[in-house]
Amino acid sequence: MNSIRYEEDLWTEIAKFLDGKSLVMLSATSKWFRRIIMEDSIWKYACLRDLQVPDPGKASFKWINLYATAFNGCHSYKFRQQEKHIDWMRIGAFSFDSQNALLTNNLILPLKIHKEKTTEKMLESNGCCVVRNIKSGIWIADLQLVRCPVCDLNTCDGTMQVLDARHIELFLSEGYQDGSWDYELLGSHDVKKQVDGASAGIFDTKHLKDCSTSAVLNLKSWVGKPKDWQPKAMIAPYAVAVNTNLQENEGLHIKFHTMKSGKNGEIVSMRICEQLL
Amino acid sequence: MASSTTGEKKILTLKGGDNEEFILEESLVLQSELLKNMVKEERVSSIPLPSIKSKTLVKIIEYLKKHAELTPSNKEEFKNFEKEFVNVVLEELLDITVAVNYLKINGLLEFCCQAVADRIKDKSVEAVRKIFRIESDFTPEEESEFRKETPEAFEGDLDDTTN
Repeated sequence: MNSIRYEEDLWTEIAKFLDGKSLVMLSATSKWFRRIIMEDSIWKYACLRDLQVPDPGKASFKWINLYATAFNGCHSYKFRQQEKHIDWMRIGAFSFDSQNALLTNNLILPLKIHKEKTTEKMLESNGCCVVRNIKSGIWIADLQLVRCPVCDLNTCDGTMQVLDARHIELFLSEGYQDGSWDYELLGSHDVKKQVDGASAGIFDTKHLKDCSTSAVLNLKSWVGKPKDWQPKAMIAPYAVAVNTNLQENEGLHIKFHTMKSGKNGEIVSMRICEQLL
Repeated sequence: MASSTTGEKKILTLKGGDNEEFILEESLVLQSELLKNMVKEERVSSIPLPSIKSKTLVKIIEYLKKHAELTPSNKEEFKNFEKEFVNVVLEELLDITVAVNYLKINGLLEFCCQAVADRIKDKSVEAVRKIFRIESDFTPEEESEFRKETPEAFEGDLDDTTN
């Protein structure tokens, strides 16, 4: 037993197979272990391993803190609009390699974009747009179920599905914590006829043609069978998508939100919110 | 997998901690980076490994033999062997892991580390301290702060048996 106790290399190697909770446990045993386990590289390894994403290079925060905000059960409705929150599920993590994102509520190929003068117009007519100046790196995607915002639609049945994606550093950023960064409406889109499912997707435009992205667009492989009302999600290295089959309806109202890191800052979070008409 | 080109197999003696000798083909020990360098640098025919118990060395040699016989067709069998290989009391597993780390047998090292991690991952702080005979050197204040900040680390399995 004593032979292994102070083998630093060996513990670093063993740590590669421990999750956050076990790492914290080990670091609380003694000062020596604390020093070994609190190495940023250990937490970086654990974070990339558990999120299943490639190394994004630099990070502005300590990896132990990034690991914590990714795995401590925090989600964007915990900070604000908590009263509206009903339920959520973690979809997973993906990456932005480029700074351009394709946001869409339509996952049926071909993804066509008719050019319009403004993003707002594009969303209105296509339910699809390209958003620039995205903060590259690791993004975390959750599917949220929230109470519908106050609306004047009598037909609204009260819940809204949100595909919520955020840069991994968002919750640690001061501007987010002090509330100076907030979601802004980018545009909205209405489908005024029966829709079979509420779907949404966020894609890194640079990787639209990747095999892994094609798998996200191969709906048959992952969406629920008819009459399966459970939300389904699919994640790939550079894309995320969700779909929930819907009962009889009169259409959908879809809103696209983004959050910037300050006035002309990069986009650090995006939401596609869908509610029944 | 005799690698001898002359048709004659080179023989090497490993000497365990208790002076027990193990005679084996040189090609087998080349899986260890440490021994490979020793064999290549100077033409030695006997290598003393005083820090490794003979019991541990027996296990490691058993692994080297199995690994050398690994082919695509007996992959499954090898996987089962690996599983059984680490299915030993913790004390023995730790001895093996330390020795494998010293000998630099890379594939096996990773496997052993995973096995050690699996044995301790659900344990509580107290249990791990007892298993590894770690004395806490935190002040009572620091200790209670940890308990407050990360109570889950103290909630794990209290079982400190090492089977």
